[in-house]
Amino acid sequence: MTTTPHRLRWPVLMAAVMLLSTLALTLSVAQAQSSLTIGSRLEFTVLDPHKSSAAFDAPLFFGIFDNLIQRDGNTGELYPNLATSWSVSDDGLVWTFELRDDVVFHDGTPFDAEAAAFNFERMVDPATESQYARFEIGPFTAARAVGSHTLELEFTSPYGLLPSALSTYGMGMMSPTAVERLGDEISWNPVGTGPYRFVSYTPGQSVVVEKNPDYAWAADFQARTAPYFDTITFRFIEEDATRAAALERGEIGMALYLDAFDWLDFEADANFETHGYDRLGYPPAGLFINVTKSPTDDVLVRRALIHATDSELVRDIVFEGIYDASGGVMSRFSFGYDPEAGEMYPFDPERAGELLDEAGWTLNASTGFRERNGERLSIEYLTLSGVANQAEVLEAEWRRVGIHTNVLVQDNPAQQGTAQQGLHNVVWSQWGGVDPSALQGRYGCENIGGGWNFAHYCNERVTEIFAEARAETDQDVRAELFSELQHILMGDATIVPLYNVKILVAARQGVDGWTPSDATGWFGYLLNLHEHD
Amino acid sequence: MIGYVVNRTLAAVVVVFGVSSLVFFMLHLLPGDAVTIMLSEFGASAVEEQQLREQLGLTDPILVQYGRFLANAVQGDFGTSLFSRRPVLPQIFEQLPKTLELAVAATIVGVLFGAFFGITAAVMRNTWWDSISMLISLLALSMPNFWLGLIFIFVFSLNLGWFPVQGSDTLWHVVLPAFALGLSFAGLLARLFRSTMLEVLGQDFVRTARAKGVAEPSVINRHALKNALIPIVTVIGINFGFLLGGSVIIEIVFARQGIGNLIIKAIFAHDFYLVQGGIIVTAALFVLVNLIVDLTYGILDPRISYA
Amino acid sequence: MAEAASAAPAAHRTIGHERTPTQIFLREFRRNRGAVVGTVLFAILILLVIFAPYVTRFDPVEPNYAARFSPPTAEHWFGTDRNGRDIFTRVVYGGRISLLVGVVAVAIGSILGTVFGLISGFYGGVIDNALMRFMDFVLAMPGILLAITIVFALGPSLVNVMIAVGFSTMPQYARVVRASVLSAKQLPYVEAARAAGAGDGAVMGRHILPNVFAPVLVLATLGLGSAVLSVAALSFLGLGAAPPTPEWGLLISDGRGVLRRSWWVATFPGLAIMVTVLAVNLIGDGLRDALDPRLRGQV
Repeated sequence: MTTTPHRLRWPVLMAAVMLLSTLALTLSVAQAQSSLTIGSRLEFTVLDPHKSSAAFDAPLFFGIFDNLIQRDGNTGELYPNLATSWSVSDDGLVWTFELRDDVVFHDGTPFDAEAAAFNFERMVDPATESQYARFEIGPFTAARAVGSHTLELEFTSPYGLLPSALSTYGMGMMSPTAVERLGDEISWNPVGTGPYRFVSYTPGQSVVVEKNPDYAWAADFQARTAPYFDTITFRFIEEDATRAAALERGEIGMALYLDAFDWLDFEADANFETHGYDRLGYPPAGLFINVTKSPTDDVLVRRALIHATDSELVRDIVFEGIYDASGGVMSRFSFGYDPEAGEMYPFDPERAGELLDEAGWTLNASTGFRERNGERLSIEYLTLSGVANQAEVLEAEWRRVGIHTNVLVQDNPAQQGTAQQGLHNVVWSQWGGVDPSALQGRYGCENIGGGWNFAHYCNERVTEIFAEARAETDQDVRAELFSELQHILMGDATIVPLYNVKILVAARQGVDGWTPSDATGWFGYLLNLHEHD
Repeated sequence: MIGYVVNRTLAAVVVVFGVSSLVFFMLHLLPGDAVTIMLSEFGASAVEEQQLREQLGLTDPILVQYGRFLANAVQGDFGTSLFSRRPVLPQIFEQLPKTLELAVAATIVGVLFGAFFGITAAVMRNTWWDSISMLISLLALSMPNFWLGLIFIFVFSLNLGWFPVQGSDTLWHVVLPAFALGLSFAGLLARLFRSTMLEVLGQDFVRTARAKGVAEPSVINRHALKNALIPIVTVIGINFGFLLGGSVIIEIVFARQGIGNLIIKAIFAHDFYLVQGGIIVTAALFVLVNLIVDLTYGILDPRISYA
Repeated sequence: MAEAASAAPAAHRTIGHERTPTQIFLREFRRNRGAVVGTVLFAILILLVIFAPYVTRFDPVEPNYAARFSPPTAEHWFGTDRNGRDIFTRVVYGGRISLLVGVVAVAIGSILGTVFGLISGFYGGVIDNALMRFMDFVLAMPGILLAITIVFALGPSLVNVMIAVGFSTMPQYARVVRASVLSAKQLPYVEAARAAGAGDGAVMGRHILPNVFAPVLVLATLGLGSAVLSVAALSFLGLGAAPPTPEWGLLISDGRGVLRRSWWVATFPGLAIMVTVLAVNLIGDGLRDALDPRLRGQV
């Protein structure tokens, strides 16, 4: 009884070791195919563009689906994709699209005006529970197929932003027969017309797509006309450092959204290729200043805060000098950016001190902090954990002019809750939009308390500008309106601008063809990815 | 026996119900809700947020939401994740195998190392080996497991290249996480093995066996060890829950699939139903393992009967 | 246990002549080599932490961008982090926070648990049943998961971490205290006191509480080790201390992001945690053996 188990143990152990090594071998062989594993930060929320509200789902959607119109993420220009041309009626209420007639969905269903109309109706159908597409499509009321490949979209009020909206990640065209056949399951088994076909989804782990061999309808601006890789796997690795380590060790072939200094390591390494691009049209990351909570209810304090902020230091320390330090309420890459407004508050600690003195906050030499009537000048700084390092840098900077900072780290959605209640003085935020009119979400009076107006800022003229810019179609006039808007928002010091986000990507040597996608600027079109020697 | 099982099972159901209620109300204390994060990317208006909230049933009074949750849960429907819009239970069961794999692997690491150090220390009581192995056990018990995971990644993945840095695809992927999680458990078990072995070795029937001239290895294997197993099985049972908890943070460190990772992300996203479901399943699992442990006593110790 | 630490060296060498329980305890405790080592280690840690400004000339939060990512050198013993801050300094100052938070968490857990355990064991019946069911609920959830949920519900902060860790460890104390109360209730002098008409409060305070003191002290000492670990875990997940606070878990979390190039940032704070928990566990073991060897199997 005491000896038999001992005899048995060794063969079992050896068998286990052999099994393990065979497994490891099989895996390494499988890697040698024409395939690419992309390490991405967050798991896709849903594999259905009409339901998704997460811009980081975009790379998948732009692989599996095509849109009527696509945007060249490098230039910002719009190009025909599934639509060949479009026009709008004189009253601006009806848009007509001519569609390509040579396109088939992955399940063999032909793409036509009926199919397109079905998609738009699906986006706004309450049963779809759309979280982005139905808002992005604006005042849409109905879609009609008026010819086999002629589509009409009808609106209740003029919607000049439509072509731009149609190029966003939520507007992919899905196969109507697949939707009917799969019901709710379609959201996890997407069927589109794009360069890659859906293969499998492993929750918490990965999504696999394969080459669509029939793909022959790439938009003109795309670098490639057909997909290159046999399969592409998206692997979700939340931690930036782990993603970098996985790339270094060859567990993945490409890492998206890298930390700046990891990215620099790869740039210096001949075994890897790197690429970085600015998030086009994306306003900068910065700190919204709450104009209703003391002490930042005083415009002098708000101005002092911006003067005391060395955004170039943030760029150099947190982003290793790679990002673009930002001055204004819009990034300098945005349509309508006004440099004069953007350069209103250069880094100037002395000026900050003068402004604070003027506001009655005088330096207490024994504590090093400023006080007024015995009360310390203290700023509640609300931030997300991923960007908490910036708070450390700024806390030290502001301390130099006598401002005390309390950092509160909260992740979403708790952060939004706190910011909506206005418990903060400044809150880190980064936001996007196709057009500067997206700033309405951030500065519209109606979005205080319940929405995204974290500055709790309400200004009559600003409200007028949003309304005028929405109705106006002349881009020069709109640019003037937005210039005025920037002067008001910066004059009232509603934001501490910090930097423009850069998308940092690295991959094993030979993998190339990175392109930013729609105006949200996230990593884009899978079509262009390829490998060279 | 059957009465005992039914009793224990009923008690377990009450416990699981209590836990889920506790969690439900705690999560509703939070500022902000899932809708704000859903619409975070493009600056939706307050009106749009409110629409979505109503659509998802988040504007109902909390007791109504709770009642709805209970009514559905009784029918085996734990609701739908607010984000993925998929039913909660399948999502949890997809993730469960990887967590179990980790917990079982960590238990194996714990038991193997714990038994080795504990039993040898007891047998060689008061020697230098006894001191060394007890010091090692205490060290293992004193390390933060997430930190140990990072050190393992640095040494064995990044520098030696023996193991992958992340993922959970193969059995190869479970080695480092299992050690990071299992070593502190091994420290605990080693101490327990040692003390129970010493206790048992001092008892009459062992002395009798020895006096009768039974060889020492056989005394240890046959008489001492079997009797020492009862408290140890209990500890393994109780600590299975601890390992489930520990797997939360280890899964995050190693970017593994698993229920811990799922629950943490759901907590951070205020995805109430997913958190609820995840915690109910975890608690149920914990209670189940302990039930099994209780029943195992009967096999180990015939003196216990379930009247 | 701080009391024990300072009292131990002062005790007279009276082996063989001791009379009071304190003297017996001290003899037992001193005989335990591990406990003495633990006490010395812990004393050193406490001294380092208290006299932090004299131990290091650097500032724990002030950035020094010229010295970013320095490996361990004669100047920076544990190296520097992304902002050029000295890791040794941050670890030493971090000890203040981590130890304080751990002690308060244990205090919350042991006081709540003792009160509930006393009430439960003393009154029995419906109250006992209700309280113990509630403890079952709390225990059915892995402690760290419960703590995470609580901190998240209350909002991430060190104060809430104390509450969460305290609350999630409460049932252990409640159970042990309840068991002690049940056995104390059977003691002849307690029954006599009740028969003599002593009030509930008096009986509990004067006769029963002293009986639960030893197991609670042992549990609390060993609990401090796991509390320090839990606090660090919560901060590591971003639920505890806010930057630039040099809390140990947060320091490890900082180090995780730079592990690939700067191993020292995460390594040393982890070692600090390990040494602290080791010291506390050694003391706890010694206390248990000296005070109440019956607890061996339980804690």
